[in-house]
Amino acid sequence: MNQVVIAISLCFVVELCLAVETVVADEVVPPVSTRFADEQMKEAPDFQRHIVPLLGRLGCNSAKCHGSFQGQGGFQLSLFGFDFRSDHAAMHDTASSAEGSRINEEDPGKSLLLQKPTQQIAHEGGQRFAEGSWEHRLLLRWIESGGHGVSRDDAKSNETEPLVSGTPIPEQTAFFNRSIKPLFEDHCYECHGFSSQKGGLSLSNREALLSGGDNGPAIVSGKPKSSLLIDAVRYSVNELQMPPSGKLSDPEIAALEKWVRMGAPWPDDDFAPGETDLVLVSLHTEPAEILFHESHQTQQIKVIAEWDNGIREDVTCLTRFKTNNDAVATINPDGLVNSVGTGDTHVIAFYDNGVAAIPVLRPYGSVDDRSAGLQTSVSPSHPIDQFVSAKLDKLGLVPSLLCSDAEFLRRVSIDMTGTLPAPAEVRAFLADKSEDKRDRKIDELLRRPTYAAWWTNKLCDFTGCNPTSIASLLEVAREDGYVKASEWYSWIYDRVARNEPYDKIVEGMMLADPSGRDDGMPYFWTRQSLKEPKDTAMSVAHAFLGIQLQCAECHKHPFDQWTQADFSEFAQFFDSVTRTKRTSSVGDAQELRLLRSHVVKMKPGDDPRRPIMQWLRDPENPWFARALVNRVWAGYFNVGIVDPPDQFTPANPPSNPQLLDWLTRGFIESGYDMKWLHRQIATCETYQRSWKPNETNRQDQRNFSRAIPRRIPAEVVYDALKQATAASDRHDAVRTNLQRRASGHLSMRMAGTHAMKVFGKPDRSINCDCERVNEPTLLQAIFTQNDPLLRMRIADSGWIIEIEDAELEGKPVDQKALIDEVWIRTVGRFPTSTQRQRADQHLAGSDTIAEGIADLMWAMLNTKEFLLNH
Amino acid sequence: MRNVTRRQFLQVGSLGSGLTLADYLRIQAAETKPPEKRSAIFIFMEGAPSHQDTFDLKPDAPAEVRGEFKPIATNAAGVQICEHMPLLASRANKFAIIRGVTHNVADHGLAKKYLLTGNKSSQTVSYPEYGSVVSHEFPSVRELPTYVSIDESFVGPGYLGSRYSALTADKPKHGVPYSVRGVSLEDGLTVAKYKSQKKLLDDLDTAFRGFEDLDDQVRGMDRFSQQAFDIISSPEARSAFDLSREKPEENDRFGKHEFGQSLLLAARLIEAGVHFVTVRLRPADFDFDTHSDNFSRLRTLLPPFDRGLAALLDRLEERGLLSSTAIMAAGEFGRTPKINSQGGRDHWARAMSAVMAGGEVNGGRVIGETDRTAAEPKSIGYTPDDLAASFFANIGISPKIEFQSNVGRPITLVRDGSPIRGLF
Repeated sequence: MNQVVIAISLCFVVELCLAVETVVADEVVPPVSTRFADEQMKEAPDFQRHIVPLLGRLGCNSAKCHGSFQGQGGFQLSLFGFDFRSDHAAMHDTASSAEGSRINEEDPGKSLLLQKPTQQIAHEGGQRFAEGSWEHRLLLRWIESGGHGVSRDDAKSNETEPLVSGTPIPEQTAFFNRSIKPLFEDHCYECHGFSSQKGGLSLSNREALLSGGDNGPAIVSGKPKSSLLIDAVRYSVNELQMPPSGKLSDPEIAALEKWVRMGAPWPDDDFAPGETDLVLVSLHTEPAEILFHESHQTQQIKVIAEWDNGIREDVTCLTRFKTNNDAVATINPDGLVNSVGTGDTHVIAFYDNGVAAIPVLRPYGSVDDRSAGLQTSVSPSHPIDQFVSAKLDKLGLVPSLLCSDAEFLRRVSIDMTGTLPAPAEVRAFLADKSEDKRDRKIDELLRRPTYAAWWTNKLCDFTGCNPTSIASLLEVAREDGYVKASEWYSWIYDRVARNEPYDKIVEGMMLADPSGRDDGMPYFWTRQSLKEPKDTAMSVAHAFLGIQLQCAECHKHPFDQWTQADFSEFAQFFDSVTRTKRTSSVGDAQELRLLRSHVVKMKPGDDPRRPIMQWLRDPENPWFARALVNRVWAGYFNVGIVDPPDQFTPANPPSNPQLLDWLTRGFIESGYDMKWLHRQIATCETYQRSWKPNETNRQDQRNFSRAIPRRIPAEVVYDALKQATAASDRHDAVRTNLQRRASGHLSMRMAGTHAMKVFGKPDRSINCDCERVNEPTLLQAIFTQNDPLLRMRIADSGWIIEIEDAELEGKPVDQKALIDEVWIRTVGRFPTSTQRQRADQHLAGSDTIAEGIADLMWAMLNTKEFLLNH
Repeated sequence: MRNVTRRQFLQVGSLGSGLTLADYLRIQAAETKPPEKRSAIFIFMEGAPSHQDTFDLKPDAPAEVRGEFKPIATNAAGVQICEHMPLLASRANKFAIIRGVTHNVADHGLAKKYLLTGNKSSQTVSYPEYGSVVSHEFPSVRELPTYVSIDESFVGPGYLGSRYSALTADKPKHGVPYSVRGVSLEDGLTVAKYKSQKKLLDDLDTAFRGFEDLDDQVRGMDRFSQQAFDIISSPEARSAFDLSREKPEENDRFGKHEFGQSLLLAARLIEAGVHFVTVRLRPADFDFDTHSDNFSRLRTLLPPFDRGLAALLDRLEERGLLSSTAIMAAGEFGRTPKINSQGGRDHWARAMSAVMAGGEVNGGRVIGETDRTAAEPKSIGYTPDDLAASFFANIGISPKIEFQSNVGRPITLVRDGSPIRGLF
């Protein structure tokens, strides 16, 4: 049974990235650590398959060493290595030191590339391997065999000949990447880049520089003195001093002159970083899963790479490993896994752009524990409960008991509608004796406008509905940002309220006419924060796929398969979608890959958003439905099945892949019916469990064996304070008037206010679900104890004023009923007898009942029971 | 298994420096004593004061550059500053002037972010301001907030997370009763009454009794609830914010201007044990952004600045705190060498000045130099990154420690700067 489960779980990884399956061992090339241990070994190592992974394994291209953006000791490698061309160029570049060259063709053994890491010559990074080791021999043989890069004709070119074409030799590529490109990026692209071309000038490629702008060509190849660009940066002409914010430093100016003198070499744009002919097909790992029973048990991982040319090679010695939780298991650099504690996690293997995750489990208890009377549900009938239960069984976890009716009502009201239940509703629900009352309540809540409001607020979070980024500066001053953000909110609200399928809602945003002439929602596209195609690409990936692409903008993604090539290809789709136009600007019909999952043909004039939308809603899309399902799940359980919920990467696998698969399939089959999804989640026993742990599941935070108490979100805090203190006859209005709710229309208006900042409402300004913070902080406690807003809510409470008035008029006051009401308004239940006694005691010592009730209200609003959803 | 979420795990597990809530609580529980050298004040001269008219005068420059102010000698040999800062001039041995600080961001918003964090602002990473970093490194003792921002903070805690936000204290105004949002008890609420409310709360907050250690969320709420109560009710913390306890002479010494009052409040907070105070000097009527009437405006702004900063240095020294309190004063950039037609100076990022004092700073010296018109640093100059690195070093925090950005990317505290030589 366990094996089957794992097979499915790995299939998920397959869809995302690379197959992990069993391999027939005898076809596999033995590891380089074995082959190159032999002094007689004459094989020529391969740059992509051996050299770059070795540099990664040794840490050479890490951020602390040569992978840093400034390089180290004048030697710069691409971070996490996937920019084969510039890495190759850098290795062939002249070293700055007088110690020799990195690659010494006459005497390969004297290459710095070998003498530094063996500490024959002082190396700040210390000794990375010993002379005569397989690593040493591998690099030596590579140099001896010509030191080729990824493509054969890319090998070190003949001598430097005067360059006219602009196609650089490796040294020049290295110089450009090191000295010129960062300079352009830092000082010039804001005005003369991809989106802004002041004076008609763009510095985004060589041709643009040669043809120049309004003042003529910016450079004359080989002639700095005749180049306008050089005049401008030297500030030698009064009218043209660039950059206007301040003169560049002398070394920077000198670098530009040198570059123009070289012929302004510009690495070929068509040859994107990381582009290579050799493609890793899959990364296999053995074993497929590790089950430990006690500390210090170990297991060696074996990694086999399969390339598109048919080669299968044991690459364990060239693989980087990491564990996702070192409190469960650690893994050493050689791939030996060591059991540390109970629980489940994954160890991850990285090689080339392949990522493989191997589940590691160690049960919390044994099956015997369950005979000790902890068993709750006999054979669950809800599919969610079945999937969860299967995983819990594996881990020896017994789920907690079902929560009480009061807990359920409060919990589901908050999670589903962002609203505390009304006092009358609490009383009615607790009094209701029917068996199906929870299911009926769920259906009732799903029909409420507050359901639509709360989940619209969430969709606004995911899609980045931020008033200040929607509008231009001028418009913000006129408050147009709020108006537009509210339109955005209302547009989604209407659709969620009538349960329009999720893919239709996304379509309405994705395909909206930016000018607003159709009934779509154009502001997703017209945000000022989307300056360049890459920004749009990152936003689309985050909002609709739950993927974080930003790392791959500058280097290979450290925890994912994404390379810069993947990123730039995806970003190319959005080249042509701007605030005003939306047609493809590709010169000829071409094929573009959508994150390795789909290929799209594009013709000039096509709206590139259409094929993307088609791909998104394709049932085979690996992320689109899954990302929403997971985010909705996280809204009910505090953690996603993939967590963080917006980090779908093969290195961050789901805790329960079968569960996520089932929900995703069901959601797609339901026609992207969001209410179906909410209903499935809310009706299962797993959601309705108590937070109270039993002996087995106290530590469990990711397998849903109990509820996790979590702070109620910022908007809910704000609304709940209002609701708890509202006058009796205002209570319904306070709850239902969405115009005045923080999770309703006020959501946009209140962003950035003190209360929202203190309680972690997201600004929606960066692509990260982590922007919403539900952690407790000191400032929150100061707020709930003594903020003027909180004190005012109580002092001005319509309900407490009613009591005051009654007392003044000498009307009878039912003290017991009032105490009940405090509890019902705040924590949705009746007080216990001890609490009632304490309350009575307090009222007895208060000058007036109203004042005593105000104190009780203050106290209850500060309890964990109120501030946590539990 | 520890109670860490995966993102927290990524922060701790892989690269070290990111502190999880669990770590934070552990540190607080252990009540680790922060190192001796731990307090700091950043005095932010918002709007960007002209360096030529404050700390970098050029009396020999042409009239359209040198302006109306004359340099005066200070008690440090060879060091001259503006005639409108005589009190500082007689205390120049207590601070160092850094001239020729240079960058290229001449926009207020972006440059403020730069000066408040020591990193050029970026689309993908939101950097934390100094005080949030100090909060992260040196959590405070229980009765006090670690970091107070006088006037609401401009940048916020960035990638460190909201736990490291400043407590905001409004600018005090002389003669107006002072209160701090959330901290001061208002509307006649007495400490006794508040204590009885808290007692009631403790008796009623029973749902999680027996499960106080369930997880960090529950543990954290209990701890912060108690800490909030301690801050609001303790005589020490209440007194720290209570400017009415100052004698009239002390009020006169700092000056009744909001600059002086804010700096007096900063001194009180540091004395009480707050670790970091940001003071934003930005009067409502006009600030240091002198596009017009540069000289008349500075004649109004410099004397209260002079008085307030001089008093701050004196007071901290009198109380033995100057050597444990790092102080930096700077604006976001400098101003144009040439005076414009409105008698003002416009934005100029290629040169500015900063002042450092306290801690290990060697006072009485000028570090760095600008050219004849104060337009450019001579030689390479210093950057805001270097200022930040120096400031952190003076607080006892390595500028090279590594954190995690919002999306788990490793980030060096001050990527491009290093402590300025000769300052310490």
